[in-house]
Amino acid sequence: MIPSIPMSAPRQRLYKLYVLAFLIFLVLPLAVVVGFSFNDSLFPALPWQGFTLDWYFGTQSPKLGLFHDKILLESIGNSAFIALWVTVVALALALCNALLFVRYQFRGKDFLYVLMLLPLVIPGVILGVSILVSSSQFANYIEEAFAYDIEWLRPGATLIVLGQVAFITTICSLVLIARLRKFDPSLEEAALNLGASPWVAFLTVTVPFLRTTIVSAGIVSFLMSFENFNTTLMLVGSDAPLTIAMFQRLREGSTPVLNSVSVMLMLVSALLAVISVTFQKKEKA
Amino acid sequence: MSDVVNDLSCNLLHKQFDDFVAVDKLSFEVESGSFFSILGPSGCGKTTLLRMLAGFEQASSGDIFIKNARVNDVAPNHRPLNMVFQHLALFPNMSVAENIAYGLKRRKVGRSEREQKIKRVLQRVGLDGSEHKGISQLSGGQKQRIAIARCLVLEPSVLLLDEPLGALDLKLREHMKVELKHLQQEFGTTFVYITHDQSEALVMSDKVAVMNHGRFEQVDTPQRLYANPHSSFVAKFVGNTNVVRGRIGDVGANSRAKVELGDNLSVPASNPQDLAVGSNVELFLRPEAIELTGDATASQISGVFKELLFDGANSTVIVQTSVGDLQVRLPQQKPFELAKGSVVYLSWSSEQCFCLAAENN
Amino acid sequence: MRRLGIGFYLLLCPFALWLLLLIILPHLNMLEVSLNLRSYTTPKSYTFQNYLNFFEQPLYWNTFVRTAWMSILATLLTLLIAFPMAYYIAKLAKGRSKTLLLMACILPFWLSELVRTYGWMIILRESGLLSGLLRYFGIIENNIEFLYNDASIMLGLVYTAMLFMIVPLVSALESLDDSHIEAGYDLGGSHWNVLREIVIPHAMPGIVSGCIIVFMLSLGNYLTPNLIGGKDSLWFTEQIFTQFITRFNWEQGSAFGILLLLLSSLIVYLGLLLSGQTLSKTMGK
Repeated sequence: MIPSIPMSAPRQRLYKLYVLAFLIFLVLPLAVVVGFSFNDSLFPALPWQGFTLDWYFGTQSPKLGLFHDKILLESIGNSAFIALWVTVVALALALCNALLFVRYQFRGKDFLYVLMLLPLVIPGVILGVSILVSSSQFANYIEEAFAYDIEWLRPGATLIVLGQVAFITTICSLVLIARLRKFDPSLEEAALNLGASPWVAFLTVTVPFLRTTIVSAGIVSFLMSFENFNTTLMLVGSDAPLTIAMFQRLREGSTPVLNSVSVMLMLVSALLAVISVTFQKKEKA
Repeated sequence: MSDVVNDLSCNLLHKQFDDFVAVDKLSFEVESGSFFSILGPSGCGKTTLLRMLAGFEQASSGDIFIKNARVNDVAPNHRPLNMVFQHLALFPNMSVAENIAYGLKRRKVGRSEREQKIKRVLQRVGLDGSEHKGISQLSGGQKQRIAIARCLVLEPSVLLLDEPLGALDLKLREHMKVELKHLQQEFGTTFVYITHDQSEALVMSDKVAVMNHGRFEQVDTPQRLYANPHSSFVAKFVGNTNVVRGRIGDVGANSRAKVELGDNLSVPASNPQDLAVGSNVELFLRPEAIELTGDATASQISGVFKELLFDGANSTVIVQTSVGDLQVRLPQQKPFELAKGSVVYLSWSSEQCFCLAAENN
Repeated sequence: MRRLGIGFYLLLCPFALWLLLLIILPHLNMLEVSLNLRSYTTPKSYTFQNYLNFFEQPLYWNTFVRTAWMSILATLLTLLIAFPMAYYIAKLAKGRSKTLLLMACILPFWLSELVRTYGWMIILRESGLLSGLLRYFGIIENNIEFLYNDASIMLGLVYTAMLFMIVPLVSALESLDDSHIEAGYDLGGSHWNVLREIVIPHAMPGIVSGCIIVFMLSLGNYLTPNLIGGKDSLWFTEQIFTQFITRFNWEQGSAFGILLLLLSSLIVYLGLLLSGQTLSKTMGK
């Protein structure tokens, strides 16, 4: 079952058919979402009522388009704000973790490495809940003891950032650790030998080596944060990010404006994916 | 310390990892402008020594002097020596010129001066015009030269080289040996070269230190190292040689001795260590010192021609004798026409045969 | 061992802070809360009542078991569906088509789970695409609700987790040298035999890590059961959400959280044990 081993023709055809069916399975729900974003109907459903761009540009309720829907736009802003912070914090933490686990030998390293992986096996809902519980309890304690309410410990953007950082850091760390393992430490020694201080050597030799990986890890973090639902659901305050806002609308049974939001998300994701892939190609070249 | 300014010297330099002594109270001096090699098997401590010189390892005790200034506490980036790494460690994200400029930039050399220096050093290593090439576009030999140029442009007191030829294929390695020697003569910089390849060390060096178990067994010119090894280890490690175990049966004047090889066979040999009668020794006989002869009377030992290992000019004949198999360099002047199993006689001059105290193992 | 310098401790600090504050302490805190007696009048006291409730109320218990079984089933289904595709990408597709296929598998997952679920809702609901098409072709007379049943939940779970099975499988299969497969045939093995004795053992680390991730994602999923499964989906994460957000019973919610965490840890542990893998080897590659 590799090209050098012949396979009978019907079997080959069956396999190809399977691959095709699989691809259709993958694309179908997305294609449906895109298609109905242009349907001139108040529901994302058949029958087809004709082509419209109202769900993007419509200014009047009930056909209020995405670009005039204040609530949705605001939630996109919230999501972007959260995702930006998550990316910055998670990347910084991941860089430290990568240096720690690749450059240093210390007692208990293997154990700490397993602990670092832990967030991968904790369901997102529980991660969110546990942070909700402990931050609220801490805030309550401070309030009772000092009569001071630490607002950012209450459900809201800050807690969402913390909750997402908890697991996105692990993913970024794994990516950076894998890359840093391929770094030849003698490059940094060569820089020292040529007169660079340790810090300059790190900036001029190690960081350029990691740059493309940092960019793609950053993109992945941003997207994961932007699209996170489970952890966010438990920590959301009054300023709902996009996924939560969409979820609430979905349950109310909303108009195809959700389709147009989804299409915009697809475009942005595709764009980021292309950027990330080009960077990786450049890295290989 | 002597009054002469040596580019590099060490005094009782010592390095210990837990229970393991990597470098054992080493003292040596490297003459300015010379090509100094440290030759030893892997695990002998040569890499640790080099890394201490470069500042990547801290000495447990002892001193390192560069131009008579103690550098033990100087950070690696402030030591006036540079290093060519085993895998060269050229920065892959930079062009040739940027690689060479790296050290100059750290010294805040101005742009125009930098460019001049890069141009000049590239000319001297024979790669002018390749400033803007990427590292991946260079051949193995070119990378080698850029790595050296990157260091020499900084005009270091000492250039350390960590087996830089190891990764090259055989042919290029032979070529680079000669080229490195010429580069060193051209720049006049002191080279400290570590290797486990005795041929590299012999071809290039003014002086070679043979290292074993963290100590220098002998520091000498390549010729003397080959002809007059001071220890059994050096004799075996440098060049190819026959080794026969024996006992000193009698000693004479001028460090001469009779060495008993068992079977009532005893041969005259030089005894440079002046070992006493009865000492266990190893007798060394280079393959090229032995002559195949048909004359039984002039020979020291007889044997049976066992096999021919043909390798052009390096061809050897294996002769089975009462003291074991001996390698004999195949005479090149006349065609070799012996049949397997025929009896041959071996002779050598007693000056080319020496005995040294046997190694413990 | 070499002495560790100040750099080590500077790198250890952020790692320790992240691990302690965002992961370990919140979970310990949640454990503590789960052991508290829920009461507004008496002072804080410890009890197992929250855990007893779980065993005494059949709804909780049944939901828990159902969630576990459905997740295991979803994991196996995903593995079965993903394996041939992963094998095709890793071994049969070459050059450009390989890149394109892999991209096709990855791209949908750069998109929010919400959008993907939304796509399936549009297809499956009573007024949805599938129903409409079947009616159009005269196969059925009245609209049929395809949503809100176990099969649709399973479909959603499998779809959501597909990528996380494909990617580890592809990378595990790619590392298998073709010559091993050729040797298998050369020594007289059949397709099935080579698959069982050579391909699958080699892909085991990939299979295990894929299964662990998919299982975790299914177990911790909230969106799919909630949107596709509807009111009767009976998913354990919904119970947690209800306790925390709707009933504001944090003590009970925490107990549920701990139970879910125990379940997932147990099953992941068993999976690793059965396949002889370790967490660092499967996840931290």
